[in-house]
Amino acid sequence: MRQIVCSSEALVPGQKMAVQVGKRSVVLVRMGNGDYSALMDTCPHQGAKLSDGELTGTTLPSGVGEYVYGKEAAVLRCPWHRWEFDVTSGQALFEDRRACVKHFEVTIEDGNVVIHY
Amino acid sequence: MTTAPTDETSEGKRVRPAPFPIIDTDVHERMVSIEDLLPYMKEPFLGYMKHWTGWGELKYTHPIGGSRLDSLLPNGNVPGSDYQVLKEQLLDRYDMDYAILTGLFYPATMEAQFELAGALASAYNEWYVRNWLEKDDRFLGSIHVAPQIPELAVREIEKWGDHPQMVQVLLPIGSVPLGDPFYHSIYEAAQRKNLVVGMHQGNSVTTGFGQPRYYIEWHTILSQAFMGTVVNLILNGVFDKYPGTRIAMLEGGFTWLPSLMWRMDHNYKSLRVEVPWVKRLPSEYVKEHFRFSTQPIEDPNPQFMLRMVEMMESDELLMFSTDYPHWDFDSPLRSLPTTFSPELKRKIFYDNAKNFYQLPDSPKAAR
Ligand code: FES
Repeated sequence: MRQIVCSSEALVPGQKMAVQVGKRSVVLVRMGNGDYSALMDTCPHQGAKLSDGELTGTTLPSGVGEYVYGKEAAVLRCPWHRWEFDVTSGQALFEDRRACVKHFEVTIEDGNVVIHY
Repeated sequence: MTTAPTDETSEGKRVRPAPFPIIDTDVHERMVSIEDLLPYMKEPFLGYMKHWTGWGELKYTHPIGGSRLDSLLPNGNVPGSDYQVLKEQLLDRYDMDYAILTGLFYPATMEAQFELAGALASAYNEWYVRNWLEKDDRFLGSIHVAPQIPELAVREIEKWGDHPQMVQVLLPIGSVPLGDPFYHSIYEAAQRKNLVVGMHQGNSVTTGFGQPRYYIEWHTILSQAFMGTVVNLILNGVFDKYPGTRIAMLEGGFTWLPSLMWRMDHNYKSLRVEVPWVKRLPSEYVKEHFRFSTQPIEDPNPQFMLRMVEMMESDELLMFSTDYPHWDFDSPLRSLPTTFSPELKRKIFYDNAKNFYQLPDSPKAAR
């Protein structure tokens, strides 16, 4: 199944929006590099709406006392307890395979953003 | 920079020129706001600045913001300061029967100017009775006091103790031992007015070695102050002097409780001689006089959590809390472990708090 959700210019890099895809609530994000990605709009922890969170970068694993910032606009941070999810995979940034949000394939077709589900 | 010292002030009045050049070694320039620094900062600290809280009592600014992002208010006011939003996001959303307000303005932990602390606590009570309690009868209140001058605290308890929505006196845990006899008149007044004493961490809580370097450390180990306060209240005889005292420990965790009870009992058997006014095993005082709010509940293997409750040897010690609107809010729908039975959940969500605070049954409770 596929659904056109908006024009490919609807979001600028760093923006996100909640969309309805079939019966599912999905959060569509446009990453820092311009690519689109989409995740289920429900946090697997306690159920907050991820679209109320922050699309952000974050600190990457680093040496002690060192801060290396990366993944610009490629991390979705939950509005409640701030679990961080990689928007390209839906996987949380900490090690726990259960902390994973469903990820949807997104394509651009004829100037439109299409979510496959 | 060749400007010579002038002999005119800005008002143009003539003054005598200084007979020598001047270097002033202490002049305070100021920023209009902290935002002036943003162009000069980079991530990750730029992200911290979105949530800048300054260095108030809390020694940290919050790395990810202190509130739920969906509780931020469009007008920029502090989350939790808008009744309508709170009502929608909490009371109505979860169909709550009662919500006990605990504020976040704690002159009780000021470390100087105690008379001012008393005046602030008193003003806060007036303000919030009018602006919060009177707006919704699901709200129950906490009397704010400044324990630094116990007589002032007692006066405040006497003033508000009979208010129909006031259910507790709030004594934030700071850096003082609240079981010390210096504070006992406060427990006497609370007992006389049949009020619970609620203890929530104040921002000035530190750890066994003072202020740790990172917020995450502080937030993880601030339970130490709660553990210390439980021990301190029992062994300083608060419950022997005022047997009607009921203490609600708020936001300090509870999974440490079994080991604390074991250790206190273990020591009591050998060291009772030092505190002969304590007549029973300390763990018995815990079960009778204390209750613990659940948030922020940890989420290990859910079987472990069930065993934790078994190790407390009572299913009456826990009371549900959300901590709305803070970032570590616990949802009533999703936070209690899946291993808890419906009976246990009902006790935690409702019965335990209702009994401890001696609340009238809410109309919905028969469900
Ligand atoms: S609900 Fe998303 S991190 Fe807790």
